Amino acid sequence: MSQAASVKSESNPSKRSKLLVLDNLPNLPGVQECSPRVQQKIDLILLALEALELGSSEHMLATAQELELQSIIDNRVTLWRLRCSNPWRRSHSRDSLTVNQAKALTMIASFRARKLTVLIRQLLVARQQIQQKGLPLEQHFRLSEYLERFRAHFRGRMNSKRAKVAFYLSSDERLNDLAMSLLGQLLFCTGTAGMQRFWVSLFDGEVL
Amino acid sequence: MTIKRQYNLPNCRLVLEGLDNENLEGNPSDRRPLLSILVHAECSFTGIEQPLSGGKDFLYSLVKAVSAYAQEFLSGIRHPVELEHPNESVRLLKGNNPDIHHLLWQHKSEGDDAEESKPLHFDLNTIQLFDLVEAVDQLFADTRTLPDLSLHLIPVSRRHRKADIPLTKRATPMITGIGSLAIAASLLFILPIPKVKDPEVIQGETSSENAPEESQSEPSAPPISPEDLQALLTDAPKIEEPTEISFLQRYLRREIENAWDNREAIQQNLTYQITATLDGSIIDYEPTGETTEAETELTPLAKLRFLPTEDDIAQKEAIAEFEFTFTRNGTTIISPLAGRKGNATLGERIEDPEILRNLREAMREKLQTAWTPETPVVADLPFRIGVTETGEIADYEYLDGNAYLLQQETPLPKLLNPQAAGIGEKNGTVVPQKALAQFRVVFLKNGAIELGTY
Repeated sequence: MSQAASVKSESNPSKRSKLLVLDNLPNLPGVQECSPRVQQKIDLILLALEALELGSSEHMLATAQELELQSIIDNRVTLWRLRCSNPWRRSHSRDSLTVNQAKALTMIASFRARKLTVLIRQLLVARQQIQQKGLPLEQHFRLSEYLERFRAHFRGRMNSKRAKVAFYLSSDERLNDLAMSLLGQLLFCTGTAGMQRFWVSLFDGEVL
Repeated sequence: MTIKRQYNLPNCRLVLEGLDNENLEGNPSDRRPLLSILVHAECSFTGIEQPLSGGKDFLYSLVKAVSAYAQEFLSGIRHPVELEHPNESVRLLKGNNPDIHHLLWQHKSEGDDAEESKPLHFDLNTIQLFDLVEAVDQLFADTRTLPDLSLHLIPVSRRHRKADIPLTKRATPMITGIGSLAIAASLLFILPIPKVKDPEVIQGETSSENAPEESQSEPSAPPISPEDLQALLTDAPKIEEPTEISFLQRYLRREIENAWDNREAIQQNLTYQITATLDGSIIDYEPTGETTEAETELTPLAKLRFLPTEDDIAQKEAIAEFEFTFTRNGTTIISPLAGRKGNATLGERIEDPEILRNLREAMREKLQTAWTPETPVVADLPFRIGVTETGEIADYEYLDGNAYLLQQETPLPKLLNPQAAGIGEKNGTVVPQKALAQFRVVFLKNGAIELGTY
């Protein structure tokens, strides 16, 4: 690694040095590739981001570039294919994410979440105020917009033949609960150690 | 020299006071002195009057509890924390509402008897909790303040998770779960081995639609303890929609009857209260009246029971309760425990007259070919059948007692294909997901079939 850093003049730095950024997330003992559950969680957190801001996949690609992760995510199709590792998707690819691919997606999610910190906090405060007044969540324009988009994305992309998906699809309320729980997770991603916390939490109950 | 460090967040403030260790005074160019000995720590929240405060034991317990609970919040899986100083400790627990987090602070004030003092209880909302986590993470990241405190994250292991329940409690679900384990094992055994796909550039949205259902290949969450199950049963929302209740009722009766082999063994009626989820899984049963636990062996209930997993609890699956009787005549009776409110429907119906006409002709042919009774039936047997647009019988119901008793004589049990309408455990529901055409079919004594609208 130090070698790669010293050869600054080299116009084509090695692939390895480019991926140093992934060392921000620890490797977990015994984890070689990701389980379907991990893949599902990563895709859902990205889905919540998409519901938060329009043009989200553009932002995600730009973030990939910013973090120099192009060797893992070079374009829209690659991003989509990685996300199709989520077993809940209609277009589930049945490929497993490698640890590096999962790390890359996690970093992108956390960086995007950090950019949206103010909005995420606003929506969570709004939820709390609305619930204290006993009003439906739809009362708040921005919150209702987030929930509506999340439900539409979820309906459009997830496979209703899967029991868990069917469970969420069966009522707007269940989908709203899922969307709010993901919003809470996004808030935690915005913190100083949020990225690491989210990454390690993906493997809770997965390791021996 | 006293040093003060503050971590300020909109809803939470953590203030530390301490001393530097002069012997370790290193690089004078470091403008911030090293806080290495903690004297006092205080943590306060906007909107909560009383601050939490204490010395080293308090702070270390606080950061440990907060760090572990943050992971629990993210994954939904419990992170047990060992309390090193039970008299000076902080614990965090999930509230009933996902937005409420209980913080319990046990501390010993002067002159207090430790045994008498009760922990103080604070309810934090998610934003307050996050700000607390953030204050702690900033402290972890601060190398000039208590450098022995740093971020240390490890995922909880499956083994660990199971190990924190005492053995006696663990054994019970294992014993009762052996039946479902056997079912699960045989199911997994017949699952096709996944094919290795060649890499493709890109697949259309529909290309994996026909792929075999993969839900069973996912690592399943462990079955829950009896306490958790009890909690689930008390807290779970009830299925009340009359249509759902009536489909569930038919589904359960059929499943149980199909699994009930040894009908002669029963000497007297056996009655149970059974609890099921909308996907038709029996998650609990209990003998009622004079029926004893031992007699359950004569029924297929233990075999059919499916212990819910922790995921199911998190999702608070709705449940329905039924009274189910195995009679000594080899028949069964099932009724919803709470009665039925409102009228049940048969789900969405196919109404188009042309489709109905075509389907009726197709069904007449299908049933007539399938029905070749060796001995004439003793009575006319009327049924209602629900047929998908593609001509599959997804649902049927006998319309009188003879039809119930003699349904095995008809081709209906063999032709039944609930999956065609999206009914079944795999789909998460026993209510048809597609519109059905409803017909009345009568298998006549003379071997003919009568088919009309229902």
